[in-house]
Amino acid sequence: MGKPFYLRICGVGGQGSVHLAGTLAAAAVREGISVSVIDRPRSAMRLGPITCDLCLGQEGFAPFIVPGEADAVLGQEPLDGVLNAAYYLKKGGTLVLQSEATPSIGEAVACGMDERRTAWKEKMLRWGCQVVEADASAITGTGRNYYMLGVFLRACPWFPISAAAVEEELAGQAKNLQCLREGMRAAV
Amino acid sequence: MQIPIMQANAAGSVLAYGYEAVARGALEADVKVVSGFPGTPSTGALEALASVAGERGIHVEWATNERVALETAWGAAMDGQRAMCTMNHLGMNVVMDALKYCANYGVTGGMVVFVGDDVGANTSAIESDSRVLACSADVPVLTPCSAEEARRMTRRAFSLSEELGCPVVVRSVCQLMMARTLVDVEVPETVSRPSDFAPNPRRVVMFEPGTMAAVTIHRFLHENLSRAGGLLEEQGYDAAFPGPGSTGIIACGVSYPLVKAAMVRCGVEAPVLKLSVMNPLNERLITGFAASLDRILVFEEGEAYAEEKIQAILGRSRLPASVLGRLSGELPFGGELFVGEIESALRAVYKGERWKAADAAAQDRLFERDLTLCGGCGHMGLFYALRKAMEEVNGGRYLAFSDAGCAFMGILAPAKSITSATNMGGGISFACGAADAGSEVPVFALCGDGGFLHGGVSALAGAVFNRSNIVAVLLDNAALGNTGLQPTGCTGRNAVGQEVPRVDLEGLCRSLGIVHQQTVDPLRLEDTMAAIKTALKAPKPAVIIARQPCVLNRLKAEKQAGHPVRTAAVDPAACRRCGKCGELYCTAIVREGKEAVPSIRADLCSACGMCVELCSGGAIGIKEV
Repeated sequence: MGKPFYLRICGVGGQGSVHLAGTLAAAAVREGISVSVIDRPRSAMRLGPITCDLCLGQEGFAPFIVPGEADAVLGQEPLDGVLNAAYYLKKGGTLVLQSEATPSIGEAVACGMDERRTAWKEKMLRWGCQVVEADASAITGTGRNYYMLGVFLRACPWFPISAAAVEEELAGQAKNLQCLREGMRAAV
Repeated sequence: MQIPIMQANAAGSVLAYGYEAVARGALEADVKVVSGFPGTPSTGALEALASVAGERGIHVEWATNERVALETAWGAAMDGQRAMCTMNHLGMNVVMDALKYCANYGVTGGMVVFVGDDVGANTSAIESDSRVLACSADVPVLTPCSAEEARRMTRRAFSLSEELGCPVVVRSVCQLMMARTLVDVEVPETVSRPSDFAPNPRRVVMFEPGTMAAVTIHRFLHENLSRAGGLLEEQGYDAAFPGPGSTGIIACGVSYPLVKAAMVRCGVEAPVLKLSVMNPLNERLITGFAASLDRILVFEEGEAYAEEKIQAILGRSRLPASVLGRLSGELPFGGELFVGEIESALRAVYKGERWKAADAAAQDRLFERDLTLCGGCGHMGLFYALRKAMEEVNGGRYLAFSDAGCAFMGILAPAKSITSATNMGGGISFACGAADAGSEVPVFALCGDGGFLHGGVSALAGAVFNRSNIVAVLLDNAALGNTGLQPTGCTGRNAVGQEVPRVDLEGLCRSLGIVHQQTVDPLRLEDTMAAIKTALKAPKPAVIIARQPCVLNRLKAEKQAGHPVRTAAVDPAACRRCGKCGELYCTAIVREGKEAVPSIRADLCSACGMCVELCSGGAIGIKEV
């Protein structure tokens, strides 16, 4: 591949961001693309913020994406996604958001989350970023992360890892594969 | 769970975390005993070795604390076997007493201390640099620059330890350990080493009366370090790369690849010295590198450890080069070094550009999501009961101190259930101090089962014979939840999944001389409040054991057993909008506005029943999803 591609996956503990990043890294290896991925969890508990930076086609080792240089942000929680994009996404980059919010406990108590989310999203659009929202809440149990990956693969066709390679990595994970395909269909 | 890099039996490349590369290095060196205490970013190394313990014949265990882990590994190494202990930077503080004894007495089998420093305090309450402590124990310290070097270095560290007769520390940081990259693997060694607890002359001479043996051994350790320097130089971990100009760069450990990337980004070319051996520093290489330079910019993760030592080396050698880094203000103290920051420093030093500070406010916003307890956590019930009981008994005035772990969450807004939190096992002695100082309000100590066995037991024993006026609450969730659900002595299962007897906390407290103790289920709020009120009137120190398995383990077990998924749900018609369910501060309970009927997120609810108990109108029930 030519230029490196930088993807930040973000969400909260329990949403499967680390699993998703691992699958993409393995798919990159399968396709012969140099890869590093770094997890940044804040704690093992559910709902703690987590980010995974995926660097594809980069020479050398510098695992964290430099602010303002992410080609895409995949936010599995809308507010966390927008906050990460505001700092890390490059101008003209792609932001894919799972639309169902998971409030932090402070926000749940203050009941003030929606206003902030809308304000940030408008800012992203002003910067010329492509914002794609998808609702994965219809999926019960696990698999929302792969649904969102399916949406992302359709929304970002220049992503260097092919859908076929991701599907190969998911062989034996029927639910995740099904969710990935549903996400790709939904994005169409 | 199978971990690919641990399964590989032939040479090749495997995608792996940095900590898995460390584990692979230990596996390739034929390690026989591994003992550790969890802490980011070291935890996964022991878990990786546990995944192959049975098939490879390795004894792998979670110890009750880091000191126990080190002593266990040391015992195995004295028996002629290769052994490793693992911990994070906080654990390094705990092991120092034992590590110094170990360094002085020596080892026969190879012994590696793997310490992962959470520089940047991503999941830790404190940031610190283990190189400083390890150096004070006079043992070699290696800091790999890549996962591949971490594997090779760990493997070599065992044989180096045997050649030197002392433990070797391998220290790394999150930026390397939590990253996944391709790592080369080699075929593991298989060497039969007889069990032979040979008397070590150093150990024997230590206690000869009338000698200055300890001082002699201390001198020997320094001579040994010089020998280590020679042996390590042969490995080529440190290397100088020529470049133009009179301002050079020294990059330590993982800073080396980051500096290389930053140099490309900003078009800086300069002489570079890569240093991976942190103790002893290679003086010959450093002075040779510095001889023709005016300035040297030092990059390292953590304290200005190398920067200070390099300054001293250049001073002793009467070399004029000035050393730049954290001490001179070119780099900020604290936090991880990212490529962007390194680039800013390079631009400032090489191109005279203004230092461009990272946007701290934007960074902070990324982490403004409050850390909180999982929905249905027993700790949540205990915190609620504590707040409510103390409101009723003493107008909400009380002091409560916890140790690290999930109980730590009690300190956070919006609930703010506890006063302060400290190190593992430290909450009890902290509370004793507050009570002994004459606190005018009731004093509680909160301690998880992991923290209690880590260091809390000795504190509670002290509380008994010093008659401390405290109520100790042992939050027994049968797991080290905060670090990823590792088992404790209260779990009934060990690191390799064997069923083992649980520590009898009630019996243990009785044997310490606790007169009043009561066991409760913290999900039963009224019962827990009653237990707190009773304990306040009972002889002190009193103990409450709040026992409820970690909710994540409970949900996992229910799923494996095929139980239906259940959730609490609100009947809007019956809801009185009293807001009582909101006083739990459970993340599964969401309201759109202050006066709105709450709703419960099925994906976050664990059907614990606490909100059902609190609901004044009987509007909340449990249903299958």
